[in-house]
Amino acid sequence: MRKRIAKVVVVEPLASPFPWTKQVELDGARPLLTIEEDGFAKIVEVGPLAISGVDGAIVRVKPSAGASDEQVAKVKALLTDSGAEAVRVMPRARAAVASLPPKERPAPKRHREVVLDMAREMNGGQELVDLVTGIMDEVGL
Amino acid sequence: MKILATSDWHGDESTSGVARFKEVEESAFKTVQAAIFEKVDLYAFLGDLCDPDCGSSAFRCVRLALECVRRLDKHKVRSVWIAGNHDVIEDGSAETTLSPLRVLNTGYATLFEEPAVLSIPEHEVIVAMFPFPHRTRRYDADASARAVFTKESRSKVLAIGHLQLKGAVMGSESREMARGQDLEFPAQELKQGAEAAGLPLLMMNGHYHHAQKVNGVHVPGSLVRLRHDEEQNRPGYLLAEF
Repeated sequence: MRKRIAKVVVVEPLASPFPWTKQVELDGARPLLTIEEDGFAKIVEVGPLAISGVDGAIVRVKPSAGASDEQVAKVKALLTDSGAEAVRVMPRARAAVASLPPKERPAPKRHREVVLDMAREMNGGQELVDLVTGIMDEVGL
Repeated sequence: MKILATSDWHGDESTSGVARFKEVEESAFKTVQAAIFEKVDLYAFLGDLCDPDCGSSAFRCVRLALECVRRLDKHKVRSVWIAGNHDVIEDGSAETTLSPLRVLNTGYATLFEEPAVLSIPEHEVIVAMFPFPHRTRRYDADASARAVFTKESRSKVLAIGHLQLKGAVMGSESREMARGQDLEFPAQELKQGAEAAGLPLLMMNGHYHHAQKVNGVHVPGSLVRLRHDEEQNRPGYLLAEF
C-alpha cells in the first residue's frame, strides 16, 4: 500500500489548461510559537490550562515588563512540561520610567547632605555624625 | 512533463538553539519520495542548501544533497540543482556548497552555478536556469532570458531561479545578502519572449521562505519553519504539470 506523505492545500489552475501548479504542504512541520505579554500573563494566572499546541514547538516568550524572575521560570517550566522542544525567553519589555513634573521634583542634595543623612540613619548616634562631619571638613566636602 | 520544485533547505540553521538538520533531512527525503511516487520528469532544487562557512554541518548538508541525487538517480528521475545566495563561496573560486554534485553530472542530475539552458527534447521543454551570482560573476539576467527564445525554438519554457522578485512577501531571509550580488528574476523579459514566440512559460524561483506566487512566478518556500517570522508559513513543495 502506498503511504500518503502530504496533503494538497492550494490548487491554482492558470487561465490556460496548462501549465497547472499546486503547492503541497508537508505534514508534521514543527510549529514555531511566540507567546506575547498577554499570553504570558494568562499562563502566570491560569497555569497549564492556558497552554495549548506547544507539543514539539520551539517557543519564544515575551514576558511583561513587571514579570518577576519566578514568574518567568514558572512559565518556562510549564511550557517545557507541556512538551515544548525549546523555550527562549526574550528580554522583558522596558518599563515606563516614572518621572515627576519639574516643580514636584525634590531639590538635588549636595554630597555633604547625603552623607550626613546616611550617618543620622545609622545607629552610631551623634558621635558618628560628629566623626563624619569632621572627616568631611578635613577633606573639604 | 511533471515537475517537483523545492528550495531553501538551510540544513545548517538552528532555531533557539535547536539544530534543524534532522527535520530538513526528513522533509527533503519526503520531496524525493513524492517525486518518485508522482513519477515526475524533473526534480528542481531552487537553491540555498546551506552556508559554506557554517562549520561541520556543511558536510552533513552536502551529504543530504548527494543522498537525494542518489535516490532520484536510482529511479531515473532527472534533477537540476541551482545555487542560491547562501550557497556561494566568496573566495574567488566561483564554487558553491553544491559544487560536490558536479561529479554526479551523470545525465540524471545536473548542477548549475551559472545561467544556462537545458533542453529536454523528449518533452519539448527548455529549462532556463538563473542561479544566484557570485560577486565576481554577475550576469545580465534579462539578456539571458531573451537568449532563451530563439526563432527556431518551438519548445515550452520552464524558467527556474534563485533571484529577487519584486513584490514578494519577504521574511528575515531577505535581509541576508552577505554573499554574491543581488539580481532581479527576469520575469518580464521571459513573459514578453514567451508571448512573442507563442510558447507556454512556467516560472519558479527560490530565495523566499514563504510559499507564494508573485507576478506569475511560483515560489515553493522552505521545507521547515526556520525563524519566528515564519510561524504562519506552511512549509512544502511545488508540483507542476507542463
